[in-house]
Amino acid sequence: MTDSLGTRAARSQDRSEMRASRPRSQPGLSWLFIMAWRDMRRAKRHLALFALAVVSGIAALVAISSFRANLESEMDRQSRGLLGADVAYDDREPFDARALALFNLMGAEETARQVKFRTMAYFPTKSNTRIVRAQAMEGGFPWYGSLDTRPAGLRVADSEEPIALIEDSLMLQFDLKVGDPIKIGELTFTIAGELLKMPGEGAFTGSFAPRVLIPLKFLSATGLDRFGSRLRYFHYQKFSDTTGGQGVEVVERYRDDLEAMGIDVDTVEDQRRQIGRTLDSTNGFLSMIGFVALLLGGVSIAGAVQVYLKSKTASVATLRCLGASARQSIAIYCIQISIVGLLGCLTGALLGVAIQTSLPELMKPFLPLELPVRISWPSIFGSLLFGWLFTSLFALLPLLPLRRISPLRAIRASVESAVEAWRDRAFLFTLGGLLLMGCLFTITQTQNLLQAASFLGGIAVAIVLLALVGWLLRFVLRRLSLDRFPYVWKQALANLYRPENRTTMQVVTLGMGAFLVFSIYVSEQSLLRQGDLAGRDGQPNVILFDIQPDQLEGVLNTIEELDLNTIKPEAIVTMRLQSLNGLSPTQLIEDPEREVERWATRREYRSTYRDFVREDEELIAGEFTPSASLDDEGPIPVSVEQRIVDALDLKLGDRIVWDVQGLPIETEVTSIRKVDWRQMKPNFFVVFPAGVLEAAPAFFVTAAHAPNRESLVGLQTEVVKRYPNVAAVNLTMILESLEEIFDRIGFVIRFMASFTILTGLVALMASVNASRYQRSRESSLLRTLGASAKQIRGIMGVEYALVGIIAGLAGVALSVVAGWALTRFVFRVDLYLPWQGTIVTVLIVASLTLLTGLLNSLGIARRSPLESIRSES
Amino acid sequence: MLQGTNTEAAFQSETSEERAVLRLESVHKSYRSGETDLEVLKGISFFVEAGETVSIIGPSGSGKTTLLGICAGLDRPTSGQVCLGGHDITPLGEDERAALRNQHVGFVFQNFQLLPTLTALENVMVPLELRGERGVTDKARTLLTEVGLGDRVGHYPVQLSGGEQQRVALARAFVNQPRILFADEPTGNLDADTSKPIVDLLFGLNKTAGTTLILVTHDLELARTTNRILRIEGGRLSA
Repeated sequence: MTDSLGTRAARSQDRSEMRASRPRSQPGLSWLFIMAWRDMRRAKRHLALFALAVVSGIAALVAISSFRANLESEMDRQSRGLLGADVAYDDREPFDARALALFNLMGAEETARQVKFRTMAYFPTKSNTRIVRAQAMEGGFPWYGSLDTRPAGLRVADSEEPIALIEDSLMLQFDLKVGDPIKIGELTFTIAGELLKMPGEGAFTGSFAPRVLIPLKFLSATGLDRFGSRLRYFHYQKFSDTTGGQGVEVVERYRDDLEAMGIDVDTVEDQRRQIGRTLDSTNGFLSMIGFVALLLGGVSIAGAVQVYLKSKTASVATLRCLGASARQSIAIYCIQISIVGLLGCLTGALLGVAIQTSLPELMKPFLPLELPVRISWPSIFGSLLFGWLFTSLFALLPLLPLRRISPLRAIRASVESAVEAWRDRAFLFTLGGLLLMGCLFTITQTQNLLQAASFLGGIAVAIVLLALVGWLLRFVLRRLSLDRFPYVWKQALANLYRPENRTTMQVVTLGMGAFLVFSIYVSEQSLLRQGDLAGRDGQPNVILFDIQPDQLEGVLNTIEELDLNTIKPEAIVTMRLQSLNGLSPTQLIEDPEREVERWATRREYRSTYRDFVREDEELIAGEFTPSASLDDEGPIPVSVEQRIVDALDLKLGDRIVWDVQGLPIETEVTSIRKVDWRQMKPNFFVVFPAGVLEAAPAFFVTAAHAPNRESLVGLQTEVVKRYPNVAAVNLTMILESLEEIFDRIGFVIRFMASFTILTGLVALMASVNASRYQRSRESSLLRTLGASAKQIRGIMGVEYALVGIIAGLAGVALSVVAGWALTRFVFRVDLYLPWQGTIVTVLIVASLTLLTGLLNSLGIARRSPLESIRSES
Repeated sequence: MLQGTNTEAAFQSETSEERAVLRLESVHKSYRSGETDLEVLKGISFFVEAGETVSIIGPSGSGKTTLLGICAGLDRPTSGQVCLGGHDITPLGEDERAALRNQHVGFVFQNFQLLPTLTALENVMVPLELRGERGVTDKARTLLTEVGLGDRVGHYPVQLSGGEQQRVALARAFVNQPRILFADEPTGNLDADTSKPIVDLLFGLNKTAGTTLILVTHDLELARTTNRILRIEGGRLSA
């Protein structure tokens, strides 16, 4: 005991003596930087690839965040211009005296009126028609923002002549000129000019129904306010600059009263919030794509750094022998990787700023305001800092084990210094930091916990699954008897599982790129597919709606005269949901036991009645009741469609009270139908049995098939001439507009997704380059043993092509699952898988991998064995 | 105990031991290999006086390199005590031992262990820089000139031959004027013609600097040039 105490005391003395004997002066930070620089000189190309891996991700983040900051500041600046007024009220009915009295209480300086409705416009000089959105205006609206016209400064509101301003796309479509006539309802207007932009509306607002502005005083002359057109009435107010705030306060005070009367109230703040929400989710989505690029960049950096540092093990051991502390050794490489990362981030930021200048142009059709390009330093700096920290943390993961390299390695190469990463507290801490940063970023970008969780969860699952595919590939190859393969194949396949292989990393990065891009492609194709059936095989391609009961026979006769096929017309009765199992819409939304989608409780339902289930509908539950009567006891049995069942969480036997234009009708869900929404026919959420709604005010809808363009135009023209209020919509044209919108959206998304692909390719280059030295040695040995350059190239070719094909297949398979989930739960359409596109995607990923791999390996096959052996020694 | 076989010698050695720059006492070293412990060193005790040159020889797998690692403070014994420069280094942490190596120890390795990304001059400067010394370029350059590489200072290791690389390693080993130099098969990677000048240089520099030299080698001829030979066999020192 005494001995041990004595020994301990002696040891303690030794320790303090040793400490005292240590030099007072330690190499400072500058020496660490010098060493980092010395070490970097010979690995510039290698390190440049690390930098490149972060460029795409940072560029995407900087571009989006900068664009977003610009958009937000511009929206603040132009907020009043988004609405064009201080407040807007709208209703389906003309405002009654009580509403007008309430409007008067607001103390507005100026007021304006507008009536909006969809109608068919007829162009006599072109003998053609088109559904348009007419806006009959009166007063000085818009007071804020710009109503851009060509010639500039045109206004129709107070014109004494029947003139019209029509959207530029419509002018272009029908080759119209100023001075040409346009017939709306029963009145012919003269085109005074083109409408380029309305406050608060993007260019795509008028894609389906281009806008036509006419003076309100001529509305009754069109006759459309008397017929069955469904009009929406707007009342705008402008407050004086001095009392603006008070006016809005008064509006807020009466908001509930107005809304109780069915009047929608929109203030500048409402409009800003609404537009902001839409743009936020779009930008959030784009940011997330950028984030995935950054994530992949981080993963690839971690992989490349790991390989890079393996070649540094001996140097670290030597440094430790010479007296460098663990901290100093790791600091040298930390500095190195951080500097390289920072350079990559700065390059990415520069590129991001350049991209940002093109984003407003790219997004122009969706933006409700003019967006000047401005540099937003805080967002650039923020993204830069975030990206740098995030990727540096990734690089730190493989750096940490450097601390544990024993100096003994300098004299004995077999000394193992590794400690399991999961037992290293610093490793777990870094991993935690990465997760935290990822979560914080996702939550702030999506501003929705569920979305953030789904996104992160989805990405995590995708990464894990892809890593599993990579692992499985190695597992299978390792167990495969390769003897029967030709030499080149044998060698290439074996390379995929041999030590130092990058198979899993490559499958993950490339697979993620393919996964993201193809998911978007599948969703886009599935959505577009919805309309593919229109016009084919005799399917209807013109839909006629707003047919009044007394017009029905005439419309059908017109179609018959033109010798066109038509479907049986269906009546439409509008109604609103009053209660479901005794719960009002508000109570339904607040009911924790029922997951109800808000839109389904508030919408105007356009229901029909009939005594049969249509052939293209499928009865999936319950029994359809063909007829009933209001005089019957008990609720009326109704049939509901699957989508509304999902949206309202309905089941058979649920009781719904409908407000049928003032008359409450109690119904019971007795059957559930599934409708093929791709059929361009009138489809209904709710079908009543015959004998209940016949007396309710209704209009009719029917559809026809026009085999060619002439008959289609002929039908539209005839119907519009005879029944101006009836809309005869050309579905092909609508689908073309839809396609155009998807093309633009698709382009923006593909543009952002290309950053991910780019990162995937850089990651591939980085990992190929990382294993270059090892490859070089292997190749030299093979060359020495008699392999030809062709064989060496063949080995690499097979290896990269196989990784590409596997990554492509895995990515595409994952995107089919993601596409299914997106189409099923988000877009609510059927999944459509374009096989050609699928094969092409896999081939593209494989070819790009092959090409990048071979380009990056150039020289290895050509190198003379002697040269390699010398450099190795 | 090799030094304690004779009572008289043991008595005389008391004073020598006090002067010892390296002293090992009952050093054991075991490695865990699967379920069993593999004992590589089985109670090694010896001391080396300042300025002495000692060779450690023995067959492959006898524990030479393990012993060198423990002597130089690169590894810790499983039990026993190691005193380097008069201080017990056994309880010291890795970073404290690193500082000690930087102060008192020089190394020459069989495979040279030059930092491949540093020039010859920078390789020689590192030990001094690690001490926080400034203006070390001239000192390093002088030493490189002494080893005959004054015109190759800007070359990277890959641009030097094996013999030249070992000369750089020698310059690096002596630049911090170590009290004790450990050389692990310094000519193991060199041919006979190249070995001779390296050995001459090693002993020449050692003599000039008055450094203690511990040499691990297979080469009996080289071993005989040292003051004393320690033979290790089966983890034990033998006479």
